[in-house]
Amino acid sequence: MKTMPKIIDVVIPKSWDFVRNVRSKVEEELGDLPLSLRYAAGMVASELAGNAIKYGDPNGPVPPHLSCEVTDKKVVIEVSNYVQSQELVHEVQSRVEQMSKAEDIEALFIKRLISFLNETAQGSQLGLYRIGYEGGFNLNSSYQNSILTLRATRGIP
Amino acid sequence: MTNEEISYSFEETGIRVVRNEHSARIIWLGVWDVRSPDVGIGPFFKALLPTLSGKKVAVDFCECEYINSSSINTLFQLLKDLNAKELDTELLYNSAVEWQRITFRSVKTVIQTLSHIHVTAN
Repeated sequence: MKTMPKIIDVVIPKSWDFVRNVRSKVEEELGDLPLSLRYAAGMVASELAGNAIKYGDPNGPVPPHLSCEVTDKKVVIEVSNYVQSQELVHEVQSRVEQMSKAEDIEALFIKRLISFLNETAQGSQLGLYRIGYEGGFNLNSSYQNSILTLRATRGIP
Repeated sequence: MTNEEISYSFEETGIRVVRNEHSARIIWLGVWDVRSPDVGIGPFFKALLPTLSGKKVAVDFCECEYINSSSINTLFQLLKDLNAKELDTELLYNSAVEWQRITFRSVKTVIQTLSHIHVTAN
């Protein structure tokens, strides 16, 4: 498999404008790929960056970071940010694990939407489910030295 | 029958309301990727609701370019409010646009409990 350089590798600023801009930037940089994949990748980058700004610790020693890498077989979008709240880390990792084990990701997404409709959903994280269902990306998470990293991967047809 | 138009925008998002004596169309425009749409747009919808009494309502997404997950919450709140007021409402989306087809297929399943809301593909 041919490895290609990261097409985006940036620190995420505190400004929400980044969330808007990164979506169009990713779509633009993936110009040779099918439209649906470009759109999905843009949504994934936007949702992950938005979560990093919303839930990351802005005073952490390491600023949040986003990268997008493309090989001839897959697109990988990775966001890492400093998080001290163990509760938040546990929530995110539980949701990612739940998605990775789900046999029917659409059913899981719908269940989450129903929670929102009924206002029983705690916190947010709907974006994680969109990444899995609407975006078709697989999510993995890791947590080391107070850095939470979410890695979204989707194969290229 | 005279149509009245109201427009409202917040950051990159936009809403156009076209209404007359019998009906109202709430058209979602542009890119819905604001951080807190409940704060930016929610009050507009709250103020709009009393003016919709007795009308047939359409919530039209066909011209919307993107919606983030926070904005889905805002949409749900609007639909719940319309349903609570027992206003017959049609949620319209463009089935030729892939993201709309995927998103609204799920939304259609979820809002089956809202008896006054119906989802229709254009």
